[in-house]
Amino acid sequence: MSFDRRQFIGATAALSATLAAPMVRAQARPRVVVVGGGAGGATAARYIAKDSDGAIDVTLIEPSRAYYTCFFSNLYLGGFREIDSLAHSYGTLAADYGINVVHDWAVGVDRDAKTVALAGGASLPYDRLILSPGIDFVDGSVAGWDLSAQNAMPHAYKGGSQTELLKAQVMAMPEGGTFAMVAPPNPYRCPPGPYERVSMVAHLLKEVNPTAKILIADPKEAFSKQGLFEEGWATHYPGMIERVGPEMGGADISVDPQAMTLTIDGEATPVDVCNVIPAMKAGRIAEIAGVTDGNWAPVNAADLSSKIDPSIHVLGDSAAQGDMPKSGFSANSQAKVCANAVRGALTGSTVFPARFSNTCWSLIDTDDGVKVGATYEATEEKIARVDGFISQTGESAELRAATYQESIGWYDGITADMFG
Amino acid sequence: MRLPVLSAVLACCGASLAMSQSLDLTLTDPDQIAAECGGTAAAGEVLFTSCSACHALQPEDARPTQAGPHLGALFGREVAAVDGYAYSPGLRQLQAEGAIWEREALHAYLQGDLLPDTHPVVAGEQDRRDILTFVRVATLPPPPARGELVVPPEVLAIEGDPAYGEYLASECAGCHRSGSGNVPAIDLLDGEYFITAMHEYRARARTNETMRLIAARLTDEEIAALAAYYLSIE
Ligand SMILES: Cc1cc2nc3c(=O)[nH]c(=O)nc-3n(C[C@H](O)[C@H](O)[C@H](O)COP(=O)(O)OP(=O)(O)OC[C@H]3O[C@@H](n4cnc5c(N)ncnc54)[C@H](O)[C@@H]3O)c2cc1C
Repeated sequence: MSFDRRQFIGATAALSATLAAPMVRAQARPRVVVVGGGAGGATAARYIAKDSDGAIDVTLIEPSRAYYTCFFSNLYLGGFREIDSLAHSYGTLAADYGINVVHDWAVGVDRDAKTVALAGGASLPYDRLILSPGIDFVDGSVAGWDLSAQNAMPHAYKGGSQTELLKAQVMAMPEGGTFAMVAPPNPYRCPPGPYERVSMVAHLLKEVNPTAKILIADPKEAFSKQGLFEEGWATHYPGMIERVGPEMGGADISVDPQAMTLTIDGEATPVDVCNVIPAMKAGRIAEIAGVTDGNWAPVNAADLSSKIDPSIHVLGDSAAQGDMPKSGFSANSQAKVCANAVRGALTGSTVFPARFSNTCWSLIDTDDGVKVGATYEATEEKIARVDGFISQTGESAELRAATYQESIGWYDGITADMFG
Repeated sequence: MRLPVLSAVLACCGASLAMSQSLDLTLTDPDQIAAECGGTAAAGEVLFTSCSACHALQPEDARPTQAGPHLGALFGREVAAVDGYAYSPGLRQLQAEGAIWEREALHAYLQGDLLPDTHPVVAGEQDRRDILTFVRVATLPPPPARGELVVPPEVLAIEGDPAYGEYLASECAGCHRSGSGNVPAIDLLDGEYFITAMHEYRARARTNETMRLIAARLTDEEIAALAAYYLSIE
């Protein structure tokens, strides 16, 4: 089996080098390679495989055997979820959808030959390449911090072990100790994420360490759902949370992971836990593929194709697409539009007009859920916002509880939509 | 002299309300209203400061000193409908004919073409559009109660395209899945119930904001397409 397959790939590659490529591709089973099995990549792979009924050969490259969602990782910190409930396997995508799941890192893209190089040495040809590698951090964006310090000062902004580490550190805080967060500058994944995290850490501390304090150094003037969070913090965690915005030096900070200090505007404060969330950029492979411009990969709104290379699509956090926030919901929504367009381009199936939506739920305390959402459309220039809503301050406890229940349903829905 | 003409205007635009292009009462999205009325609400709000001495936007804001009636739910409202207000004979005449305020009639009224000398004229074409856009957005009637909205049989009968429905349903699948509890499963709902529910969300007769938002941009045909798809997978 595998021998035949390699022969077949080799033969096609040799042919396409000499013949007019479209001719060859029309005869062979078109190949889609997806890099990154997260909210964008897993959804795109699943929809292309599902809807093309075997007409397209789909390969998904993802180093991890289990995907730990970042969404709901804050609820794990707060004690509302077990870590295992955040893990999802790629088994169904391979078994039920016929997706070739390769657990490896993509380390190079040859855009002329249309191949992806894997760390293990393999080279995979593609007709369309979909990149959804999430985020990486901008070097030097937080003075004193680099990836080698992520154990002393975790970011917990990629799923799995970092989240567990952060929780263990919160649990080990001395009585009355300080949890510090260095919040990221815009744009970053999950705009309400840091503030939901503060809420969940506060919830945990209120139970196990009620005299502890939370200190946020924030370079942003304002943040997502600010009114809702501040109202919730004042109600549920009075006096516990202090946020230092840019007007008070929140943008002028450095950390010392050895001494465990956070310096704001020249003044060093000893802290017990320091959650450093650095500035973000597209996952490194997007840069390696040469489809980034600055920190992000610009894409066309109608099909998420790269503005630099039309055979490459970039989804989710890595994409500079316009008005959508970087969220799992957005990545999932973009993936379905992209899958429809890629299928149309490769098999001639009907391409329906792009439509996108997003809703981000956040939990502030037990049964106190809020949400913000919007719909989007594709314009020539970008993905543009059409209409939206946000939870209101002063909503009833019933509505807040219903909103939280709805978020649990969403979690089940989106993970089923990603992994089958 | 002018009245017959005016009645004609109203007869063509007002009488067949539901089908009239110029009065889609289901519109609640300010941007769509702005597109339909051809104005900008923000500009209209500024202009409306010249109107507010005489007109309140909502019944609860009306003051006895105001010379004009409140404008609550003005679009689609019967002419001369505010109780206890001393309307001019011209307006009373229109009322007797069963006329209803809608965009063209209001535009003509502000222009001084409809019942000249009964209402101050707003000279600029764009100013009139801006004011009407603002008033329409600011005086939207409260949404119908759930169960009150009746989807017309011809809308229920639209034959949806299941292939398009399958694509549209991918937006639903981000939250709804078969058999799940916290967000209700929708794949096995009765077709008419499903269609009615989507129309209720679109008309804001149901409260979930996420669903209102999703439904707001679905056309009758798209709702039918979704229903056709879900029926096809049963
Ligand atoms: C604390 C927190 C809370 C959040 N809460 C929410 C929420 O409530 N709702 C919401 O919608 N979103 C939420 N998000 C945001 C959400 O997690 C991301 O926006 C979403 O995961 C982006 O999807 P993606 O496909 O772009 O990237 P990811 O889901 O991160 O997937 C990227 C994948 O690519 C893989 N990868 C990277 N490089 C390579 C390579 N070179 N080769 C192969 N594979 C590679 C990675 O291993 C990873 O599995 C939250 C994020 C955080 C951090």
